[in-house]
Amino acid sequence: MATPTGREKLAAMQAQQARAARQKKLLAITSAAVVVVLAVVAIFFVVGQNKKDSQDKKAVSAASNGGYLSSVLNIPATTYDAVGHGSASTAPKAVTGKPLSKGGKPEVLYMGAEFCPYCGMERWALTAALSRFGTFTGLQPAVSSATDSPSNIPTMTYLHAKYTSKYLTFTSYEMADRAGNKLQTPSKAATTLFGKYDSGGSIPFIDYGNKAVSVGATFQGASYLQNASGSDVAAKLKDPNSAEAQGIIGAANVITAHLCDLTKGQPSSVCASTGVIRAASGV
Amino acid sequence: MPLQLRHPRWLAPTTLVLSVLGLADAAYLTFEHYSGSTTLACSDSGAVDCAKVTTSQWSSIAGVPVALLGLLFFVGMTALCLPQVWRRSTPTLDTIRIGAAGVGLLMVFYLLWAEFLQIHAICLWCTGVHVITFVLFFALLFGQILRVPVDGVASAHEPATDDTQHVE
Repeated sequence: MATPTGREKLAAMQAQQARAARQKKLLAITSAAVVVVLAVVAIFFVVGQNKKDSQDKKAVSAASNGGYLSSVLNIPATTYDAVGHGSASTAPKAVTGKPLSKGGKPEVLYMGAEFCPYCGMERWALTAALSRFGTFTGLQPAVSSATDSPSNIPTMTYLHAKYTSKYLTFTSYEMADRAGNKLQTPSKAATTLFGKYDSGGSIPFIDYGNKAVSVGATFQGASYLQNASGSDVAAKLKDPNSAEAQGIIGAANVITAHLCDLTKGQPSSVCASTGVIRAASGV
Repeated sequence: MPLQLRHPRWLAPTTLVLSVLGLADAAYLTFEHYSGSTTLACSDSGAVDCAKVTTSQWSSIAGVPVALLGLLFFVGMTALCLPQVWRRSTPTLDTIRIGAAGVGLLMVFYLLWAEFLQIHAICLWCTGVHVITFVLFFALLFGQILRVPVDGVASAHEPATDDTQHVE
């Protein structure tokens, strides 16, 4: 092997120095790129958090105006009839147990919580259905948890609600508030039924006089209820073809068919209506 | 005569380990995707909610699950980072490796955008894949920059070893 000459050694040394300088520059650029990538991630996080907080504030603010509750309690019979079964996805499941009653009337038992999004969805349908058999007072607007999935479902709470009907009694337990803090404690009998028919412990749990029970929401409303305002949802209920009406009113008709089973078809103006019959045939 | 360079010795094992870890993570997420995320070992409420992320509308692109795309990505990266491939590495292979990892990093940006700005939840297993992709990309980049002469300054006159790939 030939020994490198002085000129070759010098050229190699200069090339090495040039390479080292270029390497130093590239290292600095790449290190800066690392910082930029981490900064972009941090920006995503901060912007996402702000957007979420803003949606949460908007949902709570929209729920503070409870004007939409009267719309749920006064859905016209023609709208119920036009929707029929709608897009109700699951019907309460028939069970055979000792009939549940209170004061000589069949009892409907609801167990849920204010944070729970599926309870929030189901309350729309359950409230509408029960309002066809009696009168609610003390209903208050509410919104489900911002951190649960789906988030911020506009709804109503039964926490201070009273229900009077000559056909049915309604017992409700909102077991926790929007933040998950404990609220109402169910009775021993209610807890026993919950344990018997809802082995997974999911809410909402609704027992229709021990003739049928439902666990979870009976319609899939997450896509149009999440982060929506109660007023907007109530407005959409006027259009029988809207997704909101198809889901909420369809589920209300299905629930009504089960309530009619408890009341032995009374009142006939409700139980013999086209919407309920169509929903019952769907069940 | 052109200077012969080799990658730093830590690069091949580091990238292989990262690729295999990413492969395992992506395989798990793909399995969970096709089994309905029913056995996903992760929190399912609050800010960390894997099921919320893996069942969201952003969990697929044009009908292809992103978990499956991740799996295919790491299968490719693992193949590219095998020791025998590193030994026979050429400038073209280096470019493919860094380019592929760069595409992976762009995908990570898209998924972070979806998690933080659209879904408002983070999936821990997905975050694992994101971190691995990030580290893999920059490991490859730093490895490329930190290539050293085969035998110090005088390497131009030495024959190439197995680790010697490039000339400048």
